[in-house]
Amino acid sequence: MKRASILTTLLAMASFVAIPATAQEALAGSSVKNPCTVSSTGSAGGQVTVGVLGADDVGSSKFEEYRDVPEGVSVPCFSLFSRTDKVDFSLWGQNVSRDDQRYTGWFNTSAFDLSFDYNEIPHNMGNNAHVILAETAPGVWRMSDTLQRAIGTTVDATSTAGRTVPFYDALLASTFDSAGLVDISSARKRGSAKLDLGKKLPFDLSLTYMRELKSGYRGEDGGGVYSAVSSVVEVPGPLDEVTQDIGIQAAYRFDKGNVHASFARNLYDNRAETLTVDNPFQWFDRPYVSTPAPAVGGGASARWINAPDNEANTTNLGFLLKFAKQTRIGGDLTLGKWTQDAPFYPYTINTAVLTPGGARADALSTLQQPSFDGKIDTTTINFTFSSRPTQNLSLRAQFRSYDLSNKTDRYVITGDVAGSPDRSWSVVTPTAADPYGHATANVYDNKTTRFTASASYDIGALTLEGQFRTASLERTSREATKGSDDGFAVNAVYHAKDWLGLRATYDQAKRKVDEGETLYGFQSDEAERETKRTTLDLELNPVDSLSLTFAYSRRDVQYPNRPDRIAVTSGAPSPGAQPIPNTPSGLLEAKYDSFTAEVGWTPNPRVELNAFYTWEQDDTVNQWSTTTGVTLNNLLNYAGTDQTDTFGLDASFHLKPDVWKLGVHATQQKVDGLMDITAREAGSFYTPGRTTLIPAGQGGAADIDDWDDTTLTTFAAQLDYAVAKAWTLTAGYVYEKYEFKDAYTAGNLLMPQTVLIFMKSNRGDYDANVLYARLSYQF
Amino acid sequence: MRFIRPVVGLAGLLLLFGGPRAFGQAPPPTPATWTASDCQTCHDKAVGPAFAASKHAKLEQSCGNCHANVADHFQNQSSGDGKGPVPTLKKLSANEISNVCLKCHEKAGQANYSMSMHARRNVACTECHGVHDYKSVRAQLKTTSDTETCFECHKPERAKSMRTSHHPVREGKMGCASCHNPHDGARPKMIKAESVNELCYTCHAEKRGPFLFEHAPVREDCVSCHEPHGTNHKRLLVQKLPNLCWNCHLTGSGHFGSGDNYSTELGARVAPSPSPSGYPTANSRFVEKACKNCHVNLHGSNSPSGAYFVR
Repeated sequence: MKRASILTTLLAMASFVAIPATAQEALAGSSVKNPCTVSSTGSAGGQVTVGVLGADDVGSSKFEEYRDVPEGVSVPCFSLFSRTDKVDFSLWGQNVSRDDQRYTGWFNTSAFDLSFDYNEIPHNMGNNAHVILAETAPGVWRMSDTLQRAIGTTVDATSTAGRTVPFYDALLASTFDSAGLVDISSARKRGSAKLDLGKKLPFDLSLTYMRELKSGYRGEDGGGVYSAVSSVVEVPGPLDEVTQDIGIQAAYRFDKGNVHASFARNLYDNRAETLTVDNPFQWFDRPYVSTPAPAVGGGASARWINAPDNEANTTNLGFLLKFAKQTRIGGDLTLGKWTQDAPFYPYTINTAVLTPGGARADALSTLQQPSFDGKIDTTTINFTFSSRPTQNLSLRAQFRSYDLSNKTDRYVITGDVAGSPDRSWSVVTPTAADPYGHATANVYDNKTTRFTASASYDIGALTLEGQFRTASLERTSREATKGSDDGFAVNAVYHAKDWLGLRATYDQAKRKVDEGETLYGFQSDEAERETKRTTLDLELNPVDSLSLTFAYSRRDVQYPNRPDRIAVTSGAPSPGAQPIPNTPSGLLEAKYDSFTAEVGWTPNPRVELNAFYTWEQDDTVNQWSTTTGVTLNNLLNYAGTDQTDTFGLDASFHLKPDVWKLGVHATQQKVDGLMDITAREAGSFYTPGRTTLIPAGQGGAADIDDWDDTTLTTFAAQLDYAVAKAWTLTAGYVYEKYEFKDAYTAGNLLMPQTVLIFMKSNRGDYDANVLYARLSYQF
Repeated sequence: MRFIRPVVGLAGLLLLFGGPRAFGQAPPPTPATWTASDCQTCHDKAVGPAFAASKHAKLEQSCGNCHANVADHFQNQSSGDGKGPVPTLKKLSANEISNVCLKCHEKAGQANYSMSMHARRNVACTECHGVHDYKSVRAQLKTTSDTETCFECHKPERAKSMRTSHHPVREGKMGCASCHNPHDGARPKMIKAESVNELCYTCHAEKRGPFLFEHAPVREDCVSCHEPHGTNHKRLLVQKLPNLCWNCHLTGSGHFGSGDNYSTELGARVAPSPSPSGYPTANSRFVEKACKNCHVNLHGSNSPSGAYFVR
């Protein structure tokens, strides 16, 4: 009775506090170990934890990017379980009633196993974003007709030369001052369940179901709004999507292997199909006329089409055969079919745009087709072989083919407003390279066929492995239509059980283009590429109480043999033009280095310490050029570096075993971003007065040394006191500090950048102190 | 129809290698004359509450399913004839330990373990999973979560997870096993789908299409532009925009070069000379989302006017 009354009291408290926005626990993902993962033992019981939390008032959404930290009383976790000969039930809940709540568990009987999970993930991507438009319906952002007219007529009455930044600043100042505020937040709510029915059947059979609802605002959306004055207008993008997935899996197992099959159907339903935004500079739909200057006209609003509903079916058939000497032969065939046939929206929302034949471009009847009826088929073939013919020798081989084939019955596009969105119609003429009217309308297929073989040999505790792999790459409608990607790897693993472990790998690969055409150089994802990877992991345990780890990782990717720049006219080298030496364009190099040192020390059973340091560096180099006639004009070189230092510390002190425990956790990650921009001094970008990014007199180079710099520091301490066998009292403190610096996009805090109207939201620096206390009862 | 022949061939293979007897389910184990409770008499830590709560404890022969010579060991201990054979697995190699587990677990997600990178690197099942004691709610992991387990070895990924642009891994809302099956050897990088893109579509189905207008590199591989483990650039991009776009878009018209008017001075704006069209937005290609300021539907557009992804 006593236990029951305590439980009732706690549950009553839980239900009392289970009101939205009143429950809270310590920061998930920061420092304090999750209190909800206590393994329950015995035949039945559970745990419930009630907590109270106080925190600094933090304005930056970054603090609660994927978590919920409201102040007050909450139920950070609870668990219930029951295990009998007939039923195994477990339910585990976390962050009850909060925006980041989660419930997971299982219900297993002698006839079936049922497992389930429900997970809510908040996405807070910016607080108090300034938006000059008002949302009148989901996905529709409007400006008052009066204001729109006032701004538009003022612009129209001003000469082109007079439309300077100060002009726009003055024109829009009062609008920005009265801008509304909106939080750019959304939520994912995903539930899934799996029902295993194979317990009473002569084969395995399970059913799965998943449903996810995404709602809120996706993030900064909107974009270019085109008229006589073309601007970028950001507003929160609507998000209202449901994804469902239903599947069935079956397998028949026998002594020497299994045969298996599965089918899954995935349905994506986007209930926020469009985004409509008023044009602040054009107050009525008007035909766009660009000459004589100044241009006039354009759409009073712009409309974007969001992702269309789509479906995917995936069918798998496979087998695994087992033989002596650990020999396994496996094969799988997976067929995918993706379809999309959402109704098209009209070409434009501007009622004044007409086709050459005089049809209204904003009418559905003007469309060439009512929908796309898109189809993509994927075929995956996989065969594996592994064996250990002798005790020391392992052999492995794999053949894998992935084929993505677009089966859509394409139509030839004859015209649209793509070239001048919402302003004017363009006749589209197919070409040999773009037979359906646009390059992006080409039928794009790709296929990768890969064969990998490896052999390893054990020499005592040392295992040496060599691997060879070869792949053929095929694509349609791209520059590189055929290629290969071959490589090899050598690896060593040494594991003297108690004191030393070593893993070292070296991997080298080369991607080549065998067929294709390019003038400027292949795009980076298909260009010739040489990759070298090296890793080294060393684990030392000189004594039982001490562990030392060193990890090194290096990836060096080069893009060699890129062609030098040549002047191009109408898609072909200009007459008389020759490649200009030392002017390859595109991604030239990408490197990543990482080093980690870690130590774990348990000087006695009451103290556990672990600390690590990781150093990383990312380097990328790309280059780009322009010509004047057949000679070089600009040569820009962008070299980006992110250098990262990460520290971590975990410490547990069992002050009085099973009674008092102190946990301390601290991390800091500092990213030092650097961007180095070099311009050819003789190029037009170096012209004083035009170029501020590459200032004159600095040798043609500018370092942006606060380029995506961030520092995240966390410190946490938690004291647990076992009041009685079933009761634990916890007190904790968390400090978290986030700093962000980025000169490159500092403009997004200024509104407007000329006529670029960005939303000014708060997801920047914060400094937070959190205090909490919890009471846990285990029953 | 074209699949009938392979299926018939497959059935023939099964008959050839498995034989008629192969189509019977494995025979039930012989009942033992001892139980886990007997082992607990001496091995109270190994057969503690956590083990008792696991499915292993409920198996016929329990300890004897994994440990060899348990019956002899038990008999020797009971009769006082010394220790007898020692059934510990600690002296076994990683491959041998994993084989013990695979006797039962070589099915479903573990069916291809022998091909996996972890098997190749001599990672025994027991390096991640605790048979006798464990801390996770599911999967009997030696740490409280799959992510913590993976980070024991995958140090760069641990560091990347702390980046400002990240999946909600460090918040515990997803884990490494959300995307990877650490036991799989059939798929590249142990991902839980046939391709990287198909994996991404499990949560980002809106990117699947097919679209009227496709961005070819996007259709082929999401990781051409994104680093899912974490980056210091928005939306998990591997590079900052517009640099990322310049990796491929090399045609070099003024469309890409006019961004050089942006000031690097914090808070200071440049007032460029009015352009002939009265469009003083020379810096629009650098600030905020750079190319994406206008080309918003880069993952594909289903707008009839979306050929350049601006609609």
